[in-house]
Amino acid sequence: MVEPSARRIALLCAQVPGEIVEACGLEPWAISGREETAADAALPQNLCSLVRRAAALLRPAATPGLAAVVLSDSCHPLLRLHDHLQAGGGAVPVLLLRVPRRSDAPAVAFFREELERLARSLESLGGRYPDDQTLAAAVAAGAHRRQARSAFLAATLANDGPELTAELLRGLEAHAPLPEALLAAAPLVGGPARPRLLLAGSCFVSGELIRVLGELGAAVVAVDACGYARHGDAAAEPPAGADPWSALAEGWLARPPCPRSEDAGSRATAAAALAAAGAIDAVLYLRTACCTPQGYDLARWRRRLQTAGVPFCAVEADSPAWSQPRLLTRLEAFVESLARRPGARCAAG
Amino acid sequence: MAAKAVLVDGQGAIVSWAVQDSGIDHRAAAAEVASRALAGAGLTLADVAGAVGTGYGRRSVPFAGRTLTEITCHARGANALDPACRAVIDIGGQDSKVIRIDERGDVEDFAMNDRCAAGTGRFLEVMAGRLGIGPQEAGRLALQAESVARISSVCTVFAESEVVGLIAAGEDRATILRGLCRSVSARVAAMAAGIGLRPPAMMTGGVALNPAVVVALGELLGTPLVVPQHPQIVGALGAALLAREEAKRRG
Repeated sequence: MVEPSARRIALLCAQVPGEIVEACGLEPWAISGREETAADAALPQNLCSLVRRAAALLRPAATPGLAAVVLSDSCHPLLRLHDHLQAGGGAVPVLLLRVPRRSDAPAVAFFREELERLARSLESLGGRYPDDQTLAAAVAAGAHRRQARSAFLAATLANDGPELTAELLRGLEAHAPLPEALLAAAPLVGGPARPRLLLAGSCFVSGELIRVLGELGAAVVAVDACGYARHGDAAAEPPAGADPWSALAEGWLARPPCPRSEDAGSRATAAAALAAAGAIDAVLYLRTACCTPQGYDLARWRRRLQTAGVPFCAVEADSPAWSQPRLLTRLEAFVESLARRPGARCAAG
Repeated sequence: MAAKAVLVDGQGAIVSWAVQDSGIDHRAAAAEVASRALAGAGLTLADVAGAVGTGYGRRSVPFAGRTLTEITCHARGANALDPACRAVIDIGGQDSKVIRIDERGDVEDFAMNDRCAAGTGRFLEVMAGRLGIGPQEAGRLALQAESVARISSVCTVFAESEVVGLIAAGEDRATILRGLCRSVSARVAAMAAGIGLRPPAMMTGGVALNPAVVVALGELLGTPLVVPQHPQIVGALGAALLAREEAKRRG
């Protein structure tokens, strides 16, 4: 569907559906936060580190083929970035997509109109306004990807299932191919007993973090973080003949909530249920430095998990690099505390 | 920064200990402080059944059988000194940490400040230096103050400017020092509130030797703090006890 000479459209944050960009015959490029880049020096130091790092990428010189940027209105830093790029800080057109924080009927209707508006804007930038058949195909493909990732997550959460590796983590990213062959070959957690972790929060959850935690003696079995598939995503392909615009809007807003959503607290409740079911032993929450939604979200998670008696640790990072001694000490201390808990899977050290 | 070594016997009692400046060569400092502690007991490294390295330089202890973070070790050490403690507040030269512990001395939750000098011993050292007072004397002098200077800056650099301004305005040194001690305590108390501290709490680290900080922190937390006789070695004591446990498990 994406033409070989398709122009690249950067998407930030993960709330922007790539399906609409694909349907317009353009190439969606979801900025994950894990790119190897330094922060843009033109933006304030106390602005979200994800936004500052993303800003450095949003120039054709840094990203060949970049034709436009679509930003969601998820948070204040993204709106600041939008203003910054519009005021001349960027070299390509920047579009703003307003994404509701709810999933009820009025929100779906509003979002449907927003998606149509986005498609018209992309058309003016060299895209093709999609007919219903084209959009329906893109929506179905997106739903299929979500279904595959849900099945993937169910496998890693199963008792003594495979642990997540850096390579498998890639398969959970939006628009990344699912490494089914890797899943079949993934190491099983049920070898040497190690505490099983769920990583939540920031997009700075990365393969390097998983590797670091592995070296410290923990196994990552689940991820519930920005930019990744989240467990509990009951994705379904829209029924044949359904209005594809409404189907995309409704399906998108029905995804598991993120920190900006009204029902964001349900994520922590879901994690507590996983712990109660024995699928995970503890939760590690990573907060992006200077991220306000995650600041509130972190408090929800801490409160909910402490009430449920689930071991919980939070660390703050401003990049996906996890080898700093400051961060390593925190991660190491948390894994040590898990190993020493009564009934721990592994012997206390 | 200081290097510490603690030697315990088979029953977990302290046999000998030593503290010294760590300098920039952590490996050399580890070997030297261990030698001093061993010499104090008339022993050599060959007499040691096990060793644990902890702290920032924990991977620079060549004779350590394993490493554990200072969080785990402080918790264990505090529990050994006072099993009733349910919290540890450690203010060292370069960082501060608060740890909530259970009845076994295991870590339930923790918070650290290791990216800003404010709230650490370094802050007090710099400020005391500005006032021409040694860090040992600063706490005693601060307790003599009848009022508390308000230090509004949270940054060490800007707080230093404030102190200079207070000196120039003729403010009493004791009053300034008491304000500085309160400033450090406020930073740490905020961390403690973040993890839900449960009393009784033990204060460890070199700053626990500053009575003004101990008083101010106790006031802010609403509970008096337990201060062991040698607060700066609690982490090393915990490491020694954990090494003992490991050696017993190995037989």
